Amino acid sequence: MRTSAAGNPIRTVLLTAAAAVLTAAITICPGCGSEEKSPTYEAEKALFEARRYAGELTFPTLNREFLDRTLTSYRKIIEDYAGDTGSMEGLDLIVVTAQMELAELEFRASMFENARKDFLHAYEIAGNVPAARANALWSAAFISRESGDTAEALRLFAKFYEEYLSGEKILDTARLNRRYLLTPIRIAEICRATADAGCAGKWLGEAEMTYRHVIRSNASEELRKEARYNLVSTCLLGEEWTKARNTIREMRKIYGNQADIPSLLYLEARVELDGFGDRESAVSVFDRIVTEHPRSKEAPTALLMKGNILLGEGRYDDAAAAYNRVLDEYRDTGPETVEAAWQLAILEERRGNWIEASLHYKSVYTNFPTTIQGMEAPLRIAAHYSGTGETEALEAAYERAAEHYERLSSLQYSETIRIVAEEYHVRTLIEQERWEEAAGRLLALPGRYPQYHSFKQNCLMAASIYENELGDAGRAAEILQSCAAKYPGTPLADEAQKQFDRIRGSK
Amino acid sequence: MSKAVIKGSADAAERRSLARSISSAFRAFHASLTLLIDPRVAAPYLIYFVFQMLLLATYLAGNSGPLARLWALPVGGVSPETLGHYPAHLLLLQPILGRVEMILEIFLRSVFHGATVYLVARAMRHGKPSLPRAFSAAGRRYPHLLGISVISSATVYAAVYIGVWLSSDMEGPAMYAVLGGGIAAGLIIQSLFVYAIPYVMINGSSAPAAMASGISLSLRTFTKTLFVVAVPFMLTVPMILLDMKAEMIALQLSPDFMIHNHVASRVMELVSTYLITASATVIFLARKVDRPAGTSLDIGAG
Repeated sequence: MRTSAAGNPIRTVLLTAAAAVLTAAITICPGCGSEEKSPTYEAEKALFEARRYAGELTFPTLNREFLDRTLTSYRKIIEDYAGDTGSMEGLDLIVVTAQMELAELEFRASMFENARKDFLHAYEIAGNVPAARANALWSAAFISRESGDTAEALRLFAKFYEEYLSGEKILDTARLNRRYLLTPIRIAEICRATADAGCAGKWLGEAEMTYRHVIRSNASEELRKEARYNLVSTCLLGEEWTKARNTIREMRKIYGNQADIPSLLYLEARVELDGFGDRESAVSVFDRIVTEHPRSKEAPTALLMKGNILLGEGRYDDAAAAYNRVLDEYRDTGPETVEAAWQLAILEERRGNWIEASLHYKSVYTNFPTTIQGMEAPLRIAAHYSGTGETEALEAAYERAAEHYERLSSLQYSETIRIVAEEYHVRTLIEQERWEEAAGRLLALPGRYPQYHSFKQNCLMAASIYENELGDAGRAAEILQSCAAKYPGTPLADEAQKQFDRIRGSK
Repeated sequence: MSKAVIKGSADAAERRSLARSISSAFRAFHASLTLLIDPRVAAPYLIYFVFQMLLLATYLAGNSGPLARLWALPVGGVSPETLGHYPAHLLLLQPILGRVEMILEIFLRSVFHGATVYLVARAMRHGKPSLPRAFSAAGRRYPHLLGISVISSATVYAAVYIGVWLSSDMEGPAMYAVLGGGIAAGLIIQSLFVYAIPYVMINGSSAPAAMASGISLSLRTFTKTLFVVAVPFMLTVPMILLDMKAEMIALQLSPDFMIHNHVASRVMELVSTYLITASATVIFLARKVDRPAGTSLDIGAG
């Protein structure tokens, strides 16, 4: 049987076209047509996606929804592939990378507890990736110190020292990352903070030994220079002023270039000031930095230090000249400019020029609202009116302060700034003795900033306000009871329960 | 006055009038599209497109073992192991398949060009187009088609490559001017060779004779022929520009973009190639061409 002349070509071409479209569709369609790739390939794909999500996060104004999506992507990689790391080459590196990036992301998002936990997990699983393992342990120790968990920080830093900085491992570890060399100094600082002089002395000794080992070694000149700077820091921390001064002078002879001299001179001036109490000598070294190295980053700081010394001696005009020079000649230096403006305000207040001082305070919180001085300035104005007993002016100052903190708590600012602003707002309410509002705000903050663990303690302060300032022991007990139930098994819950029992007992 | 003299003066008039050249070129495009009433005319290129898609699917599916070693061959400095990683596997799609297809373009696609010319000629003469016959005819003329393909592809690639090479150290407008110059030279060379396959398939010429006659015809109808080549080429320009930034877009968006980009490029290439081949054949057939003795190719048969 013959087919029609028209039927044949159409069928042929339709078949060809259909085949073309089908092949193209199968090729384009993700997951269709192509065979299942190796787990390593799939894991790399998942890691690429997670990194793409992370790249879309903008940190000053963090979008929680995007953050959660990114965290979930990283966690899924770890969950899906951690079990296969032994059987598939390259998979362990991907899982460790995902674990490290997850922890770093949590740290950047101020989720310190999660970050520490995930860094420690990375440390556990990164046996085949030494650089990541060292980084994970050091980061966990660093986070512990930053979040005030000194016991854990001490334990982790000591573990790091033992594992990476003892014996012949020092140079290899320092080559991985030079900040690792700071470990014994960090431990000594923690010991100092906990007033444990014996512990501090022991670790300063370890630090000196470590740095002298590097200095004597055949390590690169850069690394040996770093070790010398760390040795100076060790001497300063141990208050071995003469040894510090000698090391600095020795370094000035070795490193005579423009980049190092200003920083060495600055250190020498600090030794003169903090160690030997020789203010004149310190001022002369600070002057030398500004005169001989005016474009160095130490120059504005030297001017500030000089101003502070002169302010302490009551030489207001000379001090003001130093601060004004920072504002005139180093306007773009950032923190130094803010500090100069702040110090000028304090200077004028001490001189008794309140109008001048208040203008300086206003300029600080207007021009640099997100700095710590910018946060402090409105309350300093209020403190002045409180001292002089000007009630109306005081009320207006608190109103302006509250507005300032309210603005800084808005979503256009980073979470860190918002948190600090919230804390200042509570402080404003407390200074105004608006107890009920202060307690209400304290209790609302943990819900608003669930990742910021310090706010969880707010329940204790709120309960104390109800008990002591508002005389409402019942409400205080209620708050404490709910706090203990909300964070069971934590030191906070124990403290809340203790306070609760005390209030109940006294009833 | 002989017909040849009349034709020669018509060519001269067309060369002098840009409007007439454009109008003539667009009439050829219109005729090419009208021929699609019998869709078999487009079948050879559609089959080649299916082949390109299968090649892409094979690349996507086989990124390890012997296949990976095969894929790594055309691109220097890439180890087969690299192809087992994401997103390198997808980012390398463009250079690897580009080079593989460049080889196939020379050795395989010439048959598809020949078959298309055969089918267009049959359709123009109201004959019954037959796909097996078209491929059979192209197969018989393969050595000549291959000869033309090797020479024309080599010269076109050389012109474009010289432009790319010269512009590699340049920046800004100078770079674009030199790069554009290379592409323009490539288009002119392609115009010179565009009638060679019709000469082989319709007149039964040998490769050297077809190229000589084709260049001669192309020079006589230069403006029109350049339009026939350049206008379909313009269809592929957006994809060429996208290709240049494809890797960057893929890294920002998703490496899967490389697949989508490749498929879109091949679709545009399919349309463009059909328009060039069919229009050139239409122009070729619209002229009186003396068939060399003893080289009759019975396109009226079947």
